[in-house]
Amino acid sequence: MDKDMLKKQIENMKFQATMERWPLSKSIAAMREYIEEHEKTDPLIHAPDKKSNPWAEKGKCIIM
Amino acid sequence: MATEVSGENYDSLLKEMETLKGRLDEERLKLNDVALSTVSQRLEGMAQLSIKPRRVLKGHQAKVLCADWSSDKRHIVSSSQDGKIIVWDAFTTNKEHACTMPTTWVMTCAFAPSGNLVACGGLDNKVTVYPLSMEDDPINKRKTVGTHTSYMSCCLFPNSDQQILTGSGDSTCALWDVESGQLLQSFHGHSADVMSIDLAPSETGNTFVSGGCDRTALIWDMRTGQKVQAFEGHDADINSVKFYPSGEAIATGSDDATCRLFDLRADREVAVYTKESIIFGVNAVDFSVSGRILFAGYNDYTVNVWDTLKCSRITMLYGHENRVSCLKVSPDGTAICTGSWDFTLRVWA
Repeated sequence: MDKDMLKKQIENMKFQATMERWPLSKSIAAMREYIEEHEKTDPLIHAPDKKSNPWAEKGKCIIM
Repeated sequence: MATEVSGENYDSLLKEMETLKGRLDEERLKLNDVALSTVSQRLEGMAQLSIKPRRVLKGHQAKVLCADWSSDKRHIVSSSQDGKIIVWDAFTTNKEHACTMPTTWVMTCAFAPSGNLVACGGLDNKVTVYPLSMEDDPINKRKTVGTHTSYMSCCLFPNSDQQILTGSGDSTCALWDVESGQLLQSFHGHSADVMSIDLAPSETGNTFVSGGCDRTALIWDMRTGQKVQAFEGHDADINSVKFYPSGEAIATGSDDATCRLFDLRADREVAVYTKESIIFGVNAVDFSVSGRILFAGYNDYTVNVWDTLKCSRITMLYGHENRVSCLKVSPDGTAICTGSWDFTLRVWA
């Protein structure tokens, strides 16, 4: 790393040091809240029924 | 004499950086008041998932390297080591467009928000856009937008067809104007190849994350070019980064065979997704729309499906016959698309 890069890096770390941080308990709770709010409508967790699932195989009709 | 002075100066700068680094680590540790696993113990498990293989997209003549969904939730663009990009109708599995690039190893491709434009690039160091129209062969209308000094590993359109964000083996990211080809902003901060980028969900706007071979994930302000946060922890290259749907966390996938979750507000690692039996590298990660599921594609041909909160593996998706190179959940969250070195793409739902 050259001197200018180093100076920039220090500048940046000083900036990062000023940020306000949440305790993990608070951020995890927020994450959990988000999931609980959206989980019921998550189609990969609660698959839509066959009719409204665009990826479900539609019944094949074979004409004899 | 002068050199000696600047030498001293350099050492004191190094020392200052070390002190700052220590202070940052200390600050982060202070907030480590509870573990994710403790919180989620009291959480209900998930119902049995019913994700099945639904479509197989065959047509590439070599390894599939990248794929992206169109905003219409139906079309997929994929790029391959055979030098081609293909636009698929994933419902019918038909190929709607195929373009041959002047290079092999087309490492990345992306749909523009309008769905009328795709961008791609790779070992040619360039990002090229192809307008998709039925009348004209897209190859006649292709246009080079930007050039890096090394391979291009990843690209995306940040919220409009007018701009492209790229990541490169030259260890930088860059924002380009599509029309003029002008470099709008460059992002310096990684000390090795950038492998993956992802845009923050729209509410948080102008932020993106990048990850790469320096084992670091960086959060950037797109307007100022300023690095906002840095996350370390992986023991090998980061191959994939992805924002958590709320925009408040990121997931990473690495050659060290783990995925990790970093919280932006706590400014630290929250979880590691790993098992003793998993020893192969991770190439791609993505979340289900609620964020509860973390999908990860591995070099051992499998997709592991993780419970984000409980940090446990729920199930695996088997089907590919070679390493899973890319993976993306569709914009409406109804399906997941995987691409593999077995030349195929698969859609699961």
